[in-house]
Amino acid sequence: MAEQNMQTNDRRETAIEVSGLVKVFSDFWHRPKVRAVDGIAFRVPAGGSVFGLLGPNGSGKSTTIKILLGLLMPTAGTVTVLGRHPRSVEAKRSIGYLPEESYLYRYLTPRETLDFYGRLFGLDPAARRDRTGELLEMVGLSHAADRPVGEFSKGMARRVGLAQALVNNPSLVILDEPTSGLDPIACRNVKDLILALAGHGKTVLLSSHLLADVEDVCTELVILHSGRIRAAGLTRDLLVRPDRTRLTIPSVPPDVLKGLLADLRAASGSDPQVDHPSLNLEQFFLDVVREASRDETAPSGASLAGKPAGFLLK
Amino acid sequence: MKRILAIAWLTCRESVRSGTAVSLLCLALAAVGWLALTLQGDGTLAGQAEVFLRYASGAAISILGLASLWLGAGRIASEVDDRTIQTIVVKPVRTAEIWIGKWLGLVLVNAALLAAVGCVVVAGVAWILHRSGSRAQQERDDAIRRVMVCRTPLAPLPGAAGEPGECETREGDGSHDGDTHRSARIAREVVPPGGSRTWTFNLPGGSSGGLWLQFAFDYGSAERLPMQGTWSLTRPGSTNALWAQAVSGLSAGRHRVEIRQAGKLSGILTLTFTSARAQDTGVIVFRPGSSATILLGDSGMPAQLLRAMLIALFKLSVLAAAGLSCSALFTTPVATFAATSLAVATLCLQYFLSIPEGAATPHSCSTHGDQDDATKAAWYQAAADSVTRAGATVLKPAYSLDGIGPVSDGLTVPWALVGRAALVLLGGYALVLAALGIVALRRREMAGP
Repeated sequence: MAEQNMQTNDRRETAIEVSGLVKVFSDFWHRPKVRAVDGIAFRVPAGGSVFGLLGPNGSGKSTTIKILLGLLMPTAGTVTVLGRHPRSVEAKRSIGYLPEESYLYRYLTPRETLDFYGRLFGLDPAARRDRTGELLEMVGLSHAADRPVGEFSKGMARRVGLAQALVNNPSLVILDEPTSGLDPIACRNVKDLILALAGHGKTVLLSSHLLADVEDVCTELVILHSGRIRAAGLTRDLLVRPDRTRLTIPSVPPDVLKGLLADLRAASGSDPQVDHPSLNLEQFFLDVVREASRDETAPSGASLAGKPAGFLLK
Repeated sequence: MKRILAIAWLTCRESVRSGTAVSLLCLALAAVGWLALTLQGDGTLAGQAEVFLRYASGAAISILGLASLWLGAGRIASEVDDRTIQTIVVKPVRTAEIWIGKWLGLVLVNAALLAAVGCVVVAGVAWILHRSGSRAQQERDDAIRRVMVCRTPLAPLPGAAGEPGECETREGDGSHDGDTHRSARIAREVVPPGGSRTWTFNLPGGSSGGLWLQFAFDYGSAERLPMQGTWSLTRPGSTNALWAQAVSGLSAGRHRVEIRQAGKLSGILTLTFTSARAQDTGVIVFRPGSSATILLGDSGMPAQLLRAMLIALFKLSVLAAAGLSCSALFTTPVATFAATSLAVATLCLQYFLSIPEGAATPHSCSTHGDQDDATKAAWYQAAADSVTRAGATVLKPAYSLDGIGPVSDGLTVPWALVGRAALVLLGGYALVLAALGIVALRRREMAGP
C-alpha cells in the first residue's frame, strides 16, 4: 500500500515521462520510411516548470508532442502524461494544446470556437461565457469575437488557438511553436503568459526552434537533432560559462575606469571587455508600439493583449 | 452526451455556414418543382397527384441519400487531412463520441432538409389538385378525397390452403386447378370471360370514414381488352348485394372504387367480381398479393407522409453512417470512392432483387472450350451468385421498408412499420456501421509526420 502511495506521489510530481521512445513512419505497404524519433527519454517535472523541446526543423519535436497527446502511436517505448496513457480521457481533462498551426473550424467565430471547446470539457454555460470573455480579452480579440475565424490573419488565428488551449484551465500546457506567426508584442505577451502560468504552478512544455523564446522562458530543455537528444538539462546550467564573470556598474569617470581595468587585468591575466549595455530590439520595439497605441481608437486586427485571464491564475 | 451534442452542433453549423445544406435544399426543391410541372401521370388528376407524390419524394430522398453518403465520406477524413480534428481528439472526448456526434449532426441536417422537402411536396400535391384548369369540379373533389386521405388496407381472409386470400374461381362449367402450387395461385387470379372471382373479408365494426375497394389486374390475353364487369358485396350464403358497382373501360393497373352504401358494413362479407365479357373476348389476371383490398378509415395524407419521411430519415441515417465509417477508414478521395461504390453496389443488388426469381440467373458461360474452362466459368458464376445472394440477404430487410410507396398509393404507414424501420435501420445497419467506424477511428493516427 505504501509503495502504491509512493508511486502515486511520483506520478503527481512528474507531468510527463518518456522512455525509449521510437517513432517510425511507414508507407502504404508498411515499409519503414522515416525514423522521426529514435529512442529518446526525458522527464518533465510537474508544478511550475517550463520545459523546452528545442531543435531544427525535422528534428522530431512535433512528432514527440503528437505522441504525448495521443495523436500518433509510438513504434516503441513508453509514454505517460500526468501518470496516464496519452490517449486517456482523464489525462486529457488537464491538458491544453496549441498545435503548430491553428487548426480551427473556419466557419465558427472565436466566441463560438471557445464555447465549443468549453463544451467538450463539460463546462457549464456560465463558466463558458465567463472564460470566453476573459480569454478573448487576454488574446486581444474582444472586438473581433463575432467574425468567422476563416477571415482571420495567421496571427489572429494563432491567438484564438492559444485561447482554446487554455479554456479548461489546464495543469499541463503543451505549446507547439507558440510564437509562430505572432508579432513581437504578441510574442512577448505569450512569453509573459507562459511565465505567469508557470508561476501559478502549471507545467508548460513548449517546442520551438526560436532560441530566444526558449531561453527567455524555459527552466529546463532538451535539444533534439535527427530524432535523438543531443543535450539536456537546466537552462541556466547549460548556458552558464563558469570560466567568465560579468560585472555591471553605473557609469564612472574615465580615470576611475582605467584604474579598475588595470586591477582586473592584473587579477585575471587578460584584457577585460568594456561596453555600454543596450536595450534589446524586442524591448525597444515594444516601447515604441506601446507609445503609438495610446492614440489608437478602433483596431481592425488584434489589439494589444490584456493580462492573463483571471481564472488561469487562481 | 454534452460532448456528442457539441460535436453534432458543430457539424450542423458547418453544414449551414458552408452552404452545403442550402445547396442541397435548393437541389432537392428544384427536383420537386420540376417534377410538379412536368409529370402527367395516367391522365387523371388523382393519378397525376399520386405520381408526383411518389416521384417527387423519391427524387428528393435520392438526392439527399447520395449527399448523406458523400458528406459522411468527407466528414472525418477531411478533418484529418486539414488537421482540425486534432483540436477535438486532444480534448477529453472518446472516439465513439466523435463518431456519434458527427453522425447525429448529419442526421439533424437531413431531418431539417426532409421536413422542408415534405412540406413542399404536400404543397405541390395541393397545388396540382387545386389549380384552375379544365378539370371538372367533381373530378377535383374525387381526386382530393382520394389523394389527400390515406386509408388502412384490410387484406382478405386467408384461404384454407394458407393462400393469401380465400378465393374461388369458376369457369362457367367447372373449377380450374393448376399443376403446381405457384401456377395454382396464379390460376386462381385468372378470370375468364363470363367468370368470377371472390374474396372474403372481415370488416371491423365502428371504423370511421368511407370504404374503398382497391384492386389491381393485368391483361390475360393478347387482345388487351379493358376490364368490364361488376363488383359486389354480399353476406356469405346470401345473393342480395349490399353494394354493387359496374366497371367498364378500366385499363390494366391499380384502381380504386368508393364503396357507397346506405348503412355501415361490418362482419364477414364476400366480395365478388363478375366479368361481363362475352366468351373469348378478354381474360384478366388479378395481381397476386394485391388482387383486391378493402381500404378503411381516414387519415390525413400529410400525417402519413411525415411517418414515411421518418422511415426515409432512418435510411439516410444509415447512408450517413456508411459514409462516416468509410471516412474513418480511408483518406478523403478513397472514402468518397468507397462510399460511391457502396451506393452503386446497393442499387445493383436492389435491381437484382426486383427481378422475379429464376429470371435473375446469369446466362451460363459457353462451354465450347475445354473442360477446365467450363469448370472455371462455373466456379466464377457460383462465386458471383454467392456474393450477390449474401449481399441480398444482408440488404433485403432495408429494401422492404418503404413509406413513400404506401402513402402515394393512398395507404397509411402504421407506426409499427416506423418502429420496425427504426429497429432494423438504426438498431441494425447503423449500429454495425458505427461499430466499424469507431473501431477504425480508434486505431487511426490523427496526425502525420
